[in-house]
Amino acid sequence: MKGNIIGKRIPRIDSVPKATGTAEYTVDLKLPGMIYGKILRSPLPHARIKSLDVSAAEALPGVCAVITAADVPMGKFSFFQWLADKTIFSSDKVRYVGDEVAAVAAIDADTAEKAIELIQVDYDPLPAVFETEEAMTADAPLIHDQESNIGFKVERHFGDPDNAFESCDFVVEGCYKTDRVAHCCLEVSNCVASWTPEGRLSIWTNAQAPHTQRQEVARILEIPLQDVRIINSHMGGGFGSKLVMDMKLPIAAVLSKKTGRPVKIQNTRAEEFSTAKTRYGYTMYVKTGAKKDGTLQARTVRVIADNGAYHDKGPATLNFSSMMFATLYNIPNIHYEGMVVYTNKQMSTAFRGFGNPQLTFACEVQLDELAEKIGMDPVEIRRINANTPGQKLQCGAVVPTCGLRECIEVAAQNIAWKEKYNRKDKLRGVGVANMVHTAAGGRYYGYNATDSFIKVADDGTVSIVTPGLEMGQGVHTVVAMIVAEELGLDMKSVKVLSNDTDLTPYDLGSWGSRATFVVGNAALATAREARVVIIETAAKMLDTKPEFIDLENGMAVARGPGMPEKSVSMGKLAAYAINNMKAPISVKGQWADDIPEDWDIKTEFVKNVRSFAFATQTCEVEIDKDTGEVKVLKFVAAHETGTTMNEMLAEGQIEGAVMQGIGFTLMESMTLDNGRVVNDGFLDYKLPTFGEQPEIDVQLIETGDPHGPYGAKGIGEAGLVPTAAALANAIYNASGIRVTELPITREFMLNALREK
Amino acid sequence: MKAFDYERPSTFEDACRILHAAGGSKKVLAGGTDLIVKTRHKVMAPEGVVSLKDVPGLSDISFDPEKGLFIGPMLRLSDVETADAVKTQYPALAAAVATIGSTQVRNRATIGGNICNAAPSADSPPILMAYGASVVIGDGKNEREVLLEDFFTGPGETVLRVGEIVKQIVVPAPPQNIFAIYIKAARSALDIALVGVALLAVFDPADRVVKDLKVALAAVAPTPVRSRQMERIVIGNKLDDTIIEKAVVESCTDACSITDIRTTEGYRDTLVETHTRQALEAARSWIEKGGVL
Ligand SMILES: Cc1cc2nc3c(=O)[nH]c(=O)nc-3n(C[C@H](O)[C@H](O)[C@H](O)COP(=O)(O)OP(=O)(O)OC[C@H]3O[C@@H](n4cnc5c(N)ncnc54)[C@H](O)[C@@H]3O)c2cc1C
Repeated sequence: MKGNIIGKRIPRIDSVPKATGTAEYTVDLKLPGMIYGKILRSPLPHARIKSLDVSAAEALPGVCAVITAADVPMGKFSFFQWLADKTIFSSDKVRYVGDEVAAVAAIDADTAEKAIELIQVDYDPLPAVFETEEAMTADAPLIHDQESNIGFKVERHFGDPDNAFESCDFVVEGCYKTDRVAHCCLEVSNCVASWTPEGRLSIWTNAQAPHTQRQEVARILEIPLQDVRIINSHMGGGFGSKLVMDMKLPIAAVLSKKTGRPVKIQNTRAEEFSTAKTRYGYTMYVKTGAKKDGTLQARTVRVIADNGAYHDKGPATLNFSSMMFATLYNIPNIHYEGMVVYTNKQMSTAFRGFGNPQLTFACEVQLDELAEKIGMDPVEIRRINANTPGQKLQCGAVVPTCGLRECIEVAAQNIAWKEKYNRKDKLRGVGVANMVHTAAGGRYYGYNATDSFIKVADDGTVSIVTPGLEMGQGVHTVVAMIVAEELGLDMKSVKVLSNDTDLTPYDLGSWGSRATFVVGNAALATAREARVVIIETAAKMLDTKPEFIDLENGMAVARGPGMPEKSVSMGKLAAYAINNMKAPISVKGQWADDIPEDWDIKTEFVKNVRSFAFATQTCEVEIDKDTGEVKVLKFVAAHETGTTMNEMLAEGQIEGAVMQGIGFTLMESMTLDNGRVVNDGFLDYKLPTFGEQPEIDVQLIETGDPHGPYGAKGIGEAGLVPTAAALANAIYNASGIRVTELPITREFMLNALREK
Repeated sequence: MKAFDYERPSTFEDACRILHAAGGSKKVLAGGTDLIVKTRHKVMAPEGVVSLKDVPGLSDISFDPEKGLFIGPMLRLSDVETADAVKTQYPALAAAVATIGSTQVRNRATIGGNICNAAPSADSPPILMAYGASVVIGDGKNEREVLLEDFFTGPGETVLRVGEIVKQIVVPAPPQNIFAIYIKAARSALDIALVGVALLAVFDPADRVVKDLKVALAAVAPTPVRSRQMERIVIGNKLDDTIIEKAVVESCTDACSITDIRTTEGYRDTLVETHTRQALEAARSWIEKGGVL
């Protein structure tokens, strides 16, 4: 769609402050009288706390408060409260290097750091376990008081895979592994907590989901929800790491309560790498069967997800990957078994794609193995099995719109697949992978609705209050575009307000590629309400009928048969409404996902997703035979957008995600030494930079969507979902080396090349 | 970060005096991209830093066709990289400096800091060693000149005594008919070297014999090291397949790679061989073309 605003290349509304360095993030916040908190963390991966002595820290000049388990509510907590397993501080034992043990607040950060070093803790080390499959053995040390280290399981099933495999012409099986990678937000996790004299707690933090974090803070501190307020600023990246409350929020709150002063706690980069959580590492045993003609008949998987020491977004991650597993292709027989397993490592959490990048890596690499066995071109097998618009899948999902075939065509064509596939010269090769992802978040909460408010000011500006959480992805720009489009305004005339749970309507936050879809729909509904009121007002003022009024260029224009054109500016119109009609223009609009009343996530798990977006990525690589370096020469990322709201933002999301996918595939890994993250800085945690960026040809396929605003689908996460598989398949095409474990380091490639 | 004093003397002598009086507990501050980072990470804990910013003349650069290149230690890496004399007379130095960090880092970091920090992985020392560079060291009263290859004594350690400051870097005028190159192997575009190979060959254009060869390696020993065994094999010979292979076989003889967080000993050695071969091949084709592009 091309409107006046929607579909145009519109620069972000926050681009000037961000480019000039004037945008203020929570890390920049300094409140009058503010002091600095610091958390004492466990140096051991697994140990009993024998004794704790804080007296030396308390005696240090400049220290305002020292707190331990004795000073905080000690109810267990988890994002999903039915999995509660973590207290604010560890009192009996610590379970990973970084576990919170005590905290101090002092007049400056250096004093706080010194005080932390003065706290004496006597630990009794316990045997620790770091690998999931080791943690599952009978004699593994138990991390929590339960029978095994298996946290919980998810099972999804339909059809009869066992029988189906019997009748398949070709079956492949394999084990695939992905590593636990860090989100690497430029702005580290941080917060400032402060209480009003009346006893109300304000927390400034970089939360991706302020409303649910507000509930979490109230829950863990055992205080009424109405006493908590979360305030956001510009945010330096989230990617899933800032969905669930970090323990520094309640800790800062307690320190602030104790001292009567605002308390700031901010991770160092090393703390961020060691405690800010990672992507769930997946070990996946996958089996796929097909007929001679390439049609997929059955697929099973056993996913073992590395939980780390405590629960977090495990259920959402396992559920979500099960759904994508069942809907990428229309496979009639499916079995999915997933489990999270405790290890003595930092917690895992959501990370762009909720398990889908991991499982897509395994499935799409295996599909290439299958194609090879059948003797079929990898593009062809994907074409044959691709879903089509309007299709009802065997698993129960319906894909009303589906652009996968177009994606495959353009991705193959733009990488010159026909010329380049299997050329076998110079260690060069091409690879392809498909993916499906939610275009609208998830329905796990049983609730997926939100609203927003608009007011029109007498200076002609239109303000919208939206819960859309801006974390760098551009949702505020999208919301402003929707308002500008509907009300005939330029971008400058729209103001977006959204940083405070006292102000914004309830919403679940920015995750699951849902913001444009959910918040955008609410903004659209609100703008349309406003349009009606504005037009009615204009009709009164211009003495005509509403149907003759149009909104354009900041004006209400009346045009009708046999009448002279009349117009009035938005500002005059708003003033008229206030002064003459005694009815200032302000409206509310909402959007609610019609989640079926009787929906059961266990049996109808695919209905968790409102809309699907498909994509194909292809790439070309060249491998250096002497160093093992995989040079990524080009990526083609063909993604279904439904309707492209803003090409610049869409391209930015996809390019950034492809780069993140390249890091996930070729570079990123946490090196542990007895549970301690050794590469806890950007020197040795390698992240791709502009220096690694290949040409990325982003193709946006507009197929529409029956539910998205203007037919848009969410695209925030999709960009890295197929990247690893496309790369691994290209590496195979170039070298004949089938890689099943990430990351694919240079050293690994060189050794593999030499063994060949 | 631990608090420290900050001093900014306006003469070289004062700077030396302060350092001397502190008995080793104060450090020279140049760009701070090593010093401040290490202090933050508690690898270092100086009582104070002595900035050389106000000491005149320490950022000068000049070239004399007879005497060579004179670089002030406080010259920023980005200024080294873009100086005309460096670009035209010592292109491999410009190229090596360009591999250091990012644009932001090079806009702040200095050449003196890169040398005095004495990291085994530093990128400018190997190529400077290949060009035969030395450093002029002063203590406010006396001066001494030390060949760069004798300057380093261990990781982060040099021959500098308390109260001494590197005053100047001197690079001899390049001889006629040379080829020089620096190859850096790293894990990503922004990284410190896993291995660095600097090579400078002086040849006779008439018979194409290599008259002199200096190869220096980064990140494979406690200090940057010359690969002397390999140099001996090549000197006096033409670069043909046999000589190159023989040289490559010996390329790690003077190295003692270790396994660390960045990579393994074995992979480091492989990289040394690979990049030594590349450097020798590049030298060969340069020489064969008579030293012109
Ligand atoms: C992100 C990043 C990337 C980097 N990448 C690279 C890289 O790729 N390659 C590389 O080689 N380095 C790299 N470095 C390291 C560093 O930037 C360089 O070594 C730089 O040249 C140091 O210079 P400086 O002026 O900042 O030194 P400083 O930090 O100021 O000083 C370094 C040391 O030298 C001493 N010193 C400085 N000047 C003198 C003098 N005149 N006399 C005596 N002692 C002196 C100081 O006391 C200190 O001990 C990187 C650093 C960062 C932060």
